Amino acid sequence: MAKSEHNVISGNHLLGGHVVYWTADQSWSDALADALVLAPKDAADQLAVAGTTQSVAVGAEVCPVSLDGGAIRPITRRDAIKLNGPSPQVLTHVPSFAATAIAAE
Amino acid sequence: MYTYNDFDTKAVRDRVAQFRAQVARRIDGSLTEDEFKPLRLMNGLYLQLHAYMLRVAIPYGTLNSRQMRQLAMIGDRWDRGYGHFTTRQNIQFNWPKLQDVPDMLDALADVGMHAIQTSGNTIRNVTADHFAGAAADELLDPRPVAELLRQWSTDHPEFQFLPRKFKIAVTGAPNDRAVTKAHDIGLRMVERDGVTGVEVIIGGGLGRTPMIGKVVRDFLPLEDLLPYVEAIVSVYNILGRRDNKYKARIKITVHEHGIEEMRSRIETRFQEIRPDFKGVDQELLAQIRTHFEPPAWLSLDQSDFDKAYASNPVFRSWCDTNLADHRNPDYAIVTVSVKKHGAVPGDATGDQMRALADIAETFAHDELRISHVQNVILPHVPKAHLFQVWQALRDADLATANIGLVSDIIACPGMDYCALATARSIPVAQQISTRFEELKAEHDVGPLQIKISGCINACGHHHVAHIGILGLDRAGAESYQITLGGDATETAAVGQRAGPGFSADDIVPAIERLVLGYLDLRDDPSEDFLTAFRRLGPEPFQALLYPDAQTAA
Repeated sequence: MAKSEHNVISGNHLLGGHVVYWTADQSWSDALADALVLAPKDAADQLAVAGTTQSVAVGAEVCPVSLDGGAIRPITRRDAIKLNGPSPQVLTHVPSFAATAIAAE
Repeated sequence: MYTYNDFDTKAVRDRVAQFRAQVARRIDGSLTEDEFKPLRLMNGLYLQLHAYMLRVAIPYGTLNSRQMRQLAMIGDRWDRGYGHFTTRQNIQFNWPKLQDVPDMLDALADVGMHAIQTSGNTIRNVTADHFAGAAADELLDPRPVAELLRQWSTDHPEFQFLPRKFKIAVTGAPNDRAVTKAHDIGLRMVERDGVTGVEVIIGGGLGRTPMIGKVVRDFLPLEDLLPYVEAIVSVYNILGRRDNKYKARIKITVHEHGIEEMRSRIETRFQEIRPDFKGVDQELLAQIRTHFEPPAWLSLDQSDFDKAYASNPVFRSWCDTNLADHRNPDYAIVTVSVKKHGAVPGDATGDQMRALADIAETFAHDELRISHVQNVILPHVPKAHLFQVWQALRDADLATANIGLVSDIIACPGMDYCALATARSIPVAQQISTRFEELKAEHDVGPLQIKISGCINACGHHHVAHIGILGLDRAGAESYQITLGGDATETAAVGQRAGPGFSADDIVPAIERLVLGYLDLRDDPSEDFLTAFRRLGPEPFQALLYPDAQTAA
């Protein structure tokens, strides 16, 4: 049962494994901004629907969020890491991450 | 080292083909996720926080240069240019795509490697002393036994659905570098009346209920090893709990039934199955031993080494910290730190892996090991080559002189990768090692093991650290609990909880107070942290961690 006032549903793309978000048109998007924001009473039903699309995404789970001037923001550290990737300092040796990691610092 | 025979090669290739078909059926929708998940886990493929993760077995941590180069190639081609060495002597790739994994497994098979049984409720990769076959204190090389167990346990039909995962470690030396007492089965070679046998330990483990293993047989003849191990796993398979995954490991079985009842059941089962072992295992073991003959030792002029040691203080410091005694006095065991200050413990780039392969091939009889401490070992380096090895390591950014010191930290992947984690581990390790490098204090502090786990499952071995750090979630915020006095060696002990947890901002200053405070508590510089803790008890260390509480009291 979702405890937060606002929630989204995240999952992992079946092929790429990357994080995707459940949208209002009952599909998945790479962008958190596209996510369907759910009241607690609706979260379980939508999670069940999202769980029927496992040809696209797996591991669906409810994530609490806040709405900051209309922008969706993850509340927990775990969801922030899930959205943004590992902490910047963890990836400074990875060529494909180095530029963004340094920029983020 | 062991080389696959035709049977091994075919078994691994067949398995890759099978998994390739399973992946194809998952992608075309013939298999549901519920059907596919156990199949991918049997092949080492997890789904983590942001991506799949492929865990590749490195049997008892042993690699040759060809295999290390292939790991580098796999990381570069299908991942993001690096791999992560783990506390089970394995390597993990953190960013594979599902459709690429069969190709990655085929590339592993090309060099005699696989990812079988790196997950699931099976017998996992058998680990061994990372100095095996090289250590001066070794009674018997444990790797042939580990290889025999690997072959026996791989796809063993009776043991594919155990109550829970099952981990075996083997050491051939009295100084336990394989953490045998924290394994489901720990095997220690011992000598009695001039005969080498095995001390068998069961029921050790970490996780949410840490236990130090208990001796179930103090001396087992080597020829009884396989049937005895089979008897243990067989008894556990029947007796182990399947109603609660948190009570399913053999440590709980031993705890609930007692070591006497376990011993009785194991001995009974052993007597039942012993006649079925008619010597084929011993023939196989003898054959396996031929793969582990020592290399042809070189006897080289060491004057260049002596000169460099005398004249180059940076090289000397590295030698004093990163070398261990070899069975051949003309050789040294080199531990390559994969823990540069501020770096991610255990992460090596493709370029670094290739450099290590080149060094091993050129200077060190083509052998490498991965340690459970997440470092790389060159087990056989002629002292005459040490200066060149050090120069090549320095060029690859791998010459940090910190083995066994504050910054040689074990850290699990934590919340930066792991879906189970409740807190970050790696950034804490990075901050601690960076801080102690700034202080230039770690050589003064001396031997000290810090181990960090990002959740109660304890993959970072924090329970058996001198200073353990456990990251938890407290009302949505990371909270780090400290344990003191743990020990991973032959004198194994579970650390004691020091007190309330620290926030992510407070944990590194707390560790700094603790470690620098120890310098004032020790009798003299020869008294290491663990010895001082055992002499003094927890109170003076708690006073260092919680000075305000002491003031308030």
